[in-house]
Amino acid sequence: MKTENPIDSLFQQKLEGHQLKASEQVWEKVAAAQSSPAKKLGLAFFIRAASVAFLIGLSGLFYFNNNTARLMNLRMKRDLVPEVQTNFNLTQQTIEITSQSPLLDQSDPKEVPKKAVAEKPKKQVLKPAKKTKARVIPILKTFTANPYLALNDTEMPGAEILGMEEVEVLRKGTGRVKIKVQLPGLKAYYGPDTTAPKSAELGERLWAYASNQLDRIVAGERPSLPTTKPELTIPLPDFINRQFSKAK
Amino acid sequence: MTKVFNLPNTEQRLIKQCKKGNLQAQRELYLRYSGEMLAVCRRYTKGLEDAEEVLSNGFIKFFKNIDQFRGEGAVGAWMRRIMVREALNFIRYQKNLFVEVDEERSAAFSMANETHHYDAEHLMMMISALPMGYKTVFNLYAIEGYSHKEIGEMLEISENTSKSQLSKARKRLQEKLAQHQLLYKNN
Repeated sequence: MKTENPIDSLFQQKLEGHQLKASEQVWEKVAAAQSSPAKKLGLAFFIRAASVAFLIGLSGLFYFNNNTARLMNLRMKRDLVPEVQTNFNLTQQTIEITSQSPLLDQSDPKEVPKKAVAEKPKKQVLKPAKKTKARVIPILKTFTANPYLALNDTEMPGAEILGMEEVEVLRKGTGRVKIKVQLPGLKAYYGPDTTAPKSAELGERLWAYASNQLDRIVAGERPSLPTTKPELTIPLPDFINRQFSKAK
Repeated sequence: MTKVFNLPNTEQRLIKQCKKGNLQAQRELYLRYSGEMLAVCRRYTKGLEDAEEVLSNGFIKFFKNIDQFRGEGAVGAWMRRIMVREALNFIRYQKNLFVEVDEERSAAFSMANETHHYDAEHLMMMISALPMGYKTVFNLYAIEGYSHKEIGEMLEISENTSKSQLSKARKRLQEKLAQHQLLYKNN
């Protein structure tokens, strides 16, 4: 235990509560060093902003992942417009729509069939079909109420299946109308090893498209390409919507 | 019937605001304690300029670490400890901190004499005139109340060195007090 020394006691008593006045520069120095809370605030703000951006990106990712099927449909419809270019040569027996020539777009839709019928009534355009897995060829018969679909090497449930050899026979035959639709880049959609092109949904859509074109051609109209454009809407998170509503 | 509302202590509210980084609250706390803390710092340093530098560094550390203050003790005591440690850090690099000074025969000083004529400024000047080692150990032991063991740890010296420095500081101060008494009597 400490023993009280008289000198210690004297100084302790006299200096207790002793104060000196500090110059204003001291506070200025102290205040200047207090900018760290602002920096912390700024850092917190950037962290929050980065979090919001990350969440938006994540929600977008989930959105696209969850809507793959719908987006695929939209994309394929969109791609049909620019890439399925048609060129039809009207013969007595066969109308062929291929993806090889863009002439149809530049020609008069009303004049082309008439001229084709008048000037070259017996000409047949025969193009060998390419036997690639990415190609789908729907064949529609005029004499049947339920046209059927033939794919390269796939089977369609509920449809009459034709192999490529039979398709060629049909093409060379008479009294039939063939509409060939080529969808480019199918592998890009599904990957090289996928079986997705064999799906019933894709076949049905091709069938519907080809059937529609067949109806138009038989009726003497120009084939119309799909005009539906994909409309993608990315929903914003609720808290951003609330912020917008508050601002309004 | 009257209701008594126990409002929180103003100082506690100041601390709370300081923890949030409120500069106005920091300013108010600074004004409240800067005078006392400057006097503490002044006892350890050679001059007022050094003391103010220690004071500013001490307040910067205080506000930086104020989140660690949980209000278990007085904020003034906590701040004082910070200031003392800051002052020690400041003088740590001073050369010849602990030098042996030849002692002269000290004049007799009696506490029986009246001591009321010693004001704080005089005593501060006496402390300030001490060699750095004497001054530091005397401040820590006599004024701040640290033990020799604690002083030895803080200054990285042995307990015996601390005791020796304190003894010499006391003798030097006793001598100065006696001189001051003599002057006082003569006047």
